[in-house]
Amino acid sequence: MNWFPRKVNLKYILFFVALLIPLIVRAPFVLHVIILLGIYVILTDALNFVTGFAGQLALGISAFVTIGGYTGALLMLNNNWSFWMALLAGGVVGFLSGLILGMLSLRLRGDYLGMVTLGFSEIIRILAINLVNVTRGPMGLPGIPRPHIFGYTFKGDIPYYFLLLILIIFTHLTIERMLFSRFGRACLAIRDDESAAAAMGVEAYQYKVLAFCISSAYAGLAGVFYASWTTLFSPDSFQLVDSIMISVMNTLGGIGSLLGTFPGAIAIGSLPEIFRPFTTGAGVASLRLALVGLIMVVFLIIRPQGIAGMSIDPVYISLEPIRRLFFRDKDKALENKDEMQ
Amino acid sequence: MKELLRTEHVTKAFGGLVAVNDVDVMIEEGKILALIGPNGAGKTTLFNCLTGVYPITSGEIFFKGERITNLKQHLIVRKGLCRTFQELRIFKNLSVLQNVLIGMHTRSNGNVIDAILNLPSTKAEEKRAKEKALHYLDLLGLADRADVKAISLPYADQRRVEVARALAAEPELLLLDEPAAGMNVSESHTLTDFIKWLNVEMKKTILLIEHNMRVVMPVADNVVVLNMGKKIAEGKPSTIQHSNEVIEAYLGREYLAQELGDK
Repeated sequence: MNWFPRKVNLKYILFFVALLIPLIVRAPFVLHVIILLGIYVILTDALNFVTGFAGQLALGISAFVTIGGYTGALLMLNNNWSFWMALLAGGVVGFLSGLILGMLSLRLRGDYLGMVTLGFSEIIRILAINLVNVTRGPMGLPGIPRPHIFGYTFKGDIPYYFLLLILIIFTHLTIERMLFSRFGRACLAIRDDESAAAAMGVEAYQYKVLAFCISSAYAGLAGVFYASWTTLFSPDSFQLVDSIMISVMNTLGGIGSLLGTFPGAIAIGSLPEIFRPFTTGAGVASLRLALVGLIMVVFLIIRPQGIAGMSIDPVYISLEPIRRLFFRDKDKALENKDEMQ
Repeated sequence: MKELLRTEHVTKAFGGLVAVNDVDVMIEEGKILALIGPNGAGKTTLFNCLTGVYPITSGEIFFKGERITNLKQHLIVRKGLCRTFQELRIFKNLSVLQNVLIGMHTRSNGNVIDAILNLPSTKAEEKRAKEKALHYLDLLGLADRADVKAISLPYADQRRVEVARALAAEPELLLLDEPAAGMNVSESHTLTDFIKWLNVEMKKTILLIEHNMRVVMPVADNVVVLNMGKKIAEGKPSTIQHSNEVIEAYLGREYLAQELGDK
């Protein structure tokens, strides 16, 4: 059976499963959690782009989600921009704020950069709380409009789910293309050995800033999506703890891997929800995070490189068992024919 | 013969420490110049000054008559000056082919937008770069290892990857920083042939840092001796070998006194 593939790229299987999810999942709460996980996947991809591929330790990704979220929300609320234009604006503003912070801080290396990005994240949160005239402070911005397309207004989680799926595919496709290009190779070289990359003529500083900007642009996009989906954006929407959780997701999935962001984000993102029934009540609510921490520690002892390691190669799933199951007789007939000839 | 690289009074000071002190070096096109000297003589620092890693404190550097003093590293590579490192500095997690492709960075095109759009022109450019990189790997006998992770190669092959990577930058002047480090006698013998091959067949002018006289003597057209950051001698390998000042720098004053006393 020549038409039946012997192997299939894992990403197509993931896409197929993703298409089926809204049909299988009936509980609104579960779909809600799945959308949140999808946002985490985008953010983990964004973080992975700068830490895993360009090798720069950035920690405060929440800052860019917050910037994107407020940009989108304010444009939609005050200027009546459509969701789509606001989404674009969120990405652009994310990119530009990444440019400013990146140009200032990417001359630093290693731990210092991590500290600067963490500090920036806190500054953004405090600005969001205190710029009451613009952001309404801790009360947040309610009533953020939902997207319209061809006269259809998004209602409920299912259209949001498909929109998010498109955003995830966009993120992955663009990251994959960048990674296997001259630009991506230069980023990987900087990660492995910055001075050797520079000696080969790679403009290391420019590439680091660009990688940081691109990462921030994805975060900005995700922020606008989140704002419209929850219809409320406040300084608490994305905080320090979310930045840390996304770093944990990235580490668990495999820093520098292409597909590891999925298992990383899904595993860590769903753990608090899995533990939720066991840890209700005031005193034990924070126990959930402690459990996540414990699992993280144990996992990193067992597999320090993360689930997918540093692999950027496409993952193929063998379809031989299915071939054997359905087409055994015909394959045999073919083989016999070959032998006779 | 045309001069390719010339330094005029190059000085590099780190605070009070003058690592390179008023050094004049000149390399003619197509020649091999060896830079020798004891540890800490400032050889690698001079390399770093030439390639733009450090800004120099004073002096001028000219390449093909053009002033390249304190230019950014990537501009210097673009002009045709590329180096290897004393300690292996290959990109460990990348494949052998990717390593060489990084070497081609300044000799290929394509930015982020091109990458995302992935137009036919971008694909063609990428294909051209890959073919060229494979050509360099082929020259060094590594074509069949192209898709292997660089770190998994044996040490000698990793060194060859580094040279392939430098060649891919299409330099006119190749700077080799102690290529014989960690090699035994027969390996360093192969290396001298290899350096000659780079010079004759690949038409590269070579500036070579080397401790190992077995490597320097047969290949170098000229030798510059550095000691304590200063140029103390310059000349043909055979004359340098018998220069008192060089012997003193390398082997110490007592040795020299003894030698002279014996005579």
